[in-house]
Amino acid sequence: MNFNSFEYAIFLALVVAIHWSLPRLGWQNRVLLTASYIFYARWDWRFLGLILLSTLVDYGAARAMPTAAPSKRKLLLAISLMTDLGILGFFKYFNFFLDTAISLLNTLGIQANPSSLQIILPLGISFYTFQALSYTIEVYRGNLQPTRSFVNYALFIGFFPQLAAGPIERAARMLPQIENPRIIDGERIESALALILLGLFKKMVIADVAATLIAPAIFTDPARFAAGDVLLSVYLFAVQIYADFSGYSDIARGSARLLGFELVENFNQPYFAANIADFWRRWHISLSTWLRDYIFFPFSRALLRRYGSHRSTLIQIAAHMLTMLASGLWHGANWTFILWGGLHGVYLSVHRLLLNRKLLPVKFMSPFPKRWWSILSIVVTFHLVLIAWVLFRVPSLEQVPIIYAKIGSALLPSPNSAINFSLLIPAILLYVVTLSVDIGQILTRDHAFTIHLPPALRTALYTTAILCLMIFSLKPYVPFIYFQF
Amino acid sequence: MSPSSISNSKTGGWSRLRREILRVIVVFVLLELIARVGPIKTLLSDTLDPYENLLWYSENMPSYQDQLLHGPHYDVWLGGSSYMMTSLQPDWIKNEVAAQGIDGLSFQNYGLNTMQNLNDMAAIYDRWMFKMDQPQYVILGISLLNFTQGGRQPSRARSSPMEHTYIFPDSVDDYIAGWLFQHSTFYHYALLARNATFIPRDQALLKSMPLGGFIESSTTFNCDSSAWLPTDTPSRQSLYQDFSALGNFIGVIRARNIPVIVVNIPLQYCSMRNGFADYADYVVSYLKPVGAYLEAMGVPFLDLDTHFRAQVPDDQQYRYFRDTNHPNIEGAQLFSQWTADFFADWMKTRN
Repeated sequence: MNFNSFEYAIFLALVVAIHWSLPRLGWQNRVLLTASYIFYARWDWRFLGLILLSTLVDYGAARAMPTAAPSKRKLLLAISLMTDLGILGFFKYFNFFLDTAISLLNTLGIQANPSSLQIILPLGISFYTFQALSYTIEVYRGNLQPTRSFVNYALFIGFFPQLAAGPIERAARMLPQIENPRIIDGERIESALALILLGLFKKMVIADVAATLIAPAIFTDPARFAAGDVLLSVYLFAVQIYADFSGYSDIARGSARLLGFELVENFNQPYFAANIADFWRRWHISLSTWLRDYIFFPFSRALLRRYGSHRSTLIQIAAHMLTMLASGLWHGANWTFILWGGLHGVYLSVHRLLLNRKLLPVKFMSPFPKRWWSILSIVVTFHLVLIAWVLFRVPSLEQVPIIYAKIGSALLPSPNSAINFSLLIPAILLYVVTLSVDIGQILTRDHAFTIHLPPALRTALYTTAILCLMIFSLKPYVPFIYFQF
Repeated sequence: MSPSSISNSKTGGWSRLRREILRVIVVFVLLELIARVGPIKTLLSDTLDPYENLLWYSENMPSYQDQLLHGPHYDVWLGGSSYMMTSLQPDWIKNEVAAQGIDGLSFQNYGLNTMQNLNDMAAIYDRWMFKMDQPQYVILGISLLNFTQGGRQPSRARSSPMEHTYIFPDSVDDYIAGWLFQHSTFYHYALLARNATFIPRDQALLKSMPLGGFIESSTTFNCDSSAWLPTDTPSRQSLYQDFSALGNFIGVIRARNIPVIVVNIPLQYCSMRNGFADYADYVVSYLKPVGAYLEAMGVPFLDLDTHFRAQVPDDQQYRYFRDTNHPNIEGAQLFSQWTADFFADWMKTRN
């Protein structure tokens, strides 16, 4: 069931109506859990078993932790981690590690036959696994009391608006919303509907049009294409992935808000980031903060304890690299993603070095840059991110040098190079629309920025957006990019 | 907190929400009404109607629709995929059949391109074409390639807007979007306006197709048979012997009391070698089983391969093909004539 479908609209309307018609919180939660499992089963009912297994093990382990002896607590944590990471590892990484091991053995002259299994990646597995991991870790650390209700915990893991592609919620934020009566009013419904409409617009009008403009083979066989087209396609992909994923997050947040939940903001105008660290505070925020809390900080602290603070720069670089490599691996079982994460690790390390040597000002985060170097830093940061997107998009490493070479040659003045206006003009329009939405959000400090506009303008924007959705609703649907993770 | 947790306070923004939704609904109702006003609807229709042709998976589909709805009526339909579309020229068959004393029958090639899947083809005939018009007879052209893995893949038509609306609605979305497209003038033209923004109108105009889907080509393609190794593994052989999709298609035609004959379109030698050790292997693995299957169904079957091989040596077969599998004009002349002869003989036995 795609978010950008009538089927989802009907499903959501029914769930909202039933949910709010029920007088008791417990019934509301049971309805939401049932709806969430129906939502997931519409994709593939067989993988419901995985969610249930993970939910049962983590619920049981966390429940037993507070009263268990320290050694038993560790054992319970280990069981929980092994279950979650075992499921994730098998379904997401088994073939990758097997193929890598076979390649390595063959390189060493040892004959090994590839026998990869046809493993389907269950929808949302990376998202709900990380959510489950954070719960048991926090309970283990004593920062969180485990919930007594299995239904509430299962709803925390399986809540349908964020089940397929996040945001990755934390139990400390989400469980209180599940366990306490929720409230709805006209303002919230309006902002929720505005968010959903904005998300659909970003997905179906910006992201899908950008996807249509990118030639299907341009990232698989870039040598066939003109350098200018390759460069424009990279720009188009940057706007596509942003509109696609942030559009999904907007729909998820809007859907949850209709049910009285507030999900974490996952994007905060990332292409206005003034430096690469700022970018990671604005892009896929729920994953970035998860990696920060469960990899970066623990790893840094462990190294600091062992080597002392006089090596803090080295430790920070090591922690950045490890965190971003993990981020790359989280995105996909492919060396392209690992290199993408590695490149961002290098960016962050260089940024940290420059900060430590006081070559960069610590803060220039003003939402509207006032000085030319602030604008320059935004442009430079965006292009660093753009360069890295190539690694994210290509199917294998073979295409990477060709694409970078094409980009390089496109930037050099050449008498033979003709500008492809059929790509350039739509690309400019898509950027103008995307950045206009961002500016609207910055000015109003609200993702559902349209609700702050005068009534006539608001109505005009809503009707225009719906009209655009009609015009661009033709099949075939382009699935959300982050569904593959 | 009220048990239902719905705030009823006046400051809760309910009236503002109601007004907002009402305003948007009013705008769209107005747009719908405006789109239905005579002169405006005429203007929209004149400007945008041709763009509906682009919503089909193939330009043949709207042309077929136009012929089926507005005539001329054809007595004999030549059905099948692109292999048939390059093989059977309707006028040649008509003339050859007339020369054999069976006059007054009109023929049309209603082949479906990029359509190896016979089940999808049957659905298009059943749910769409037969509802607009029906022939007296169908000559169904098949090829080995209708029974390979490609023949089991969903066809391109399954991911196309108009086919989703009229032929393959398989989700709530298809039914809602299809209903809106057929009943809301504003939605209808809003969809068409998208293509009108980017595509010149002359590219959207209905194609005149007096010979239906027949594709004429004079080029030849000489494939290097030595480079094509036989890959007749048992698993691949088994693919050729599942003819249930063909049976389904024949069932769809017969359900309307339309007699049907089946013609097998030959492969040129080097293409045949791609899947089989030699011609004898091809006969045993494909031709005989498909012939037996059709015989069991009581369907007359013309095996053009045997005729072709008897007349044209293996190393000369390329002269009759435009690529590995599709006949060129030379091949079409042969296959049309043999098909006409077979059809005429069959008609005589019926009379």
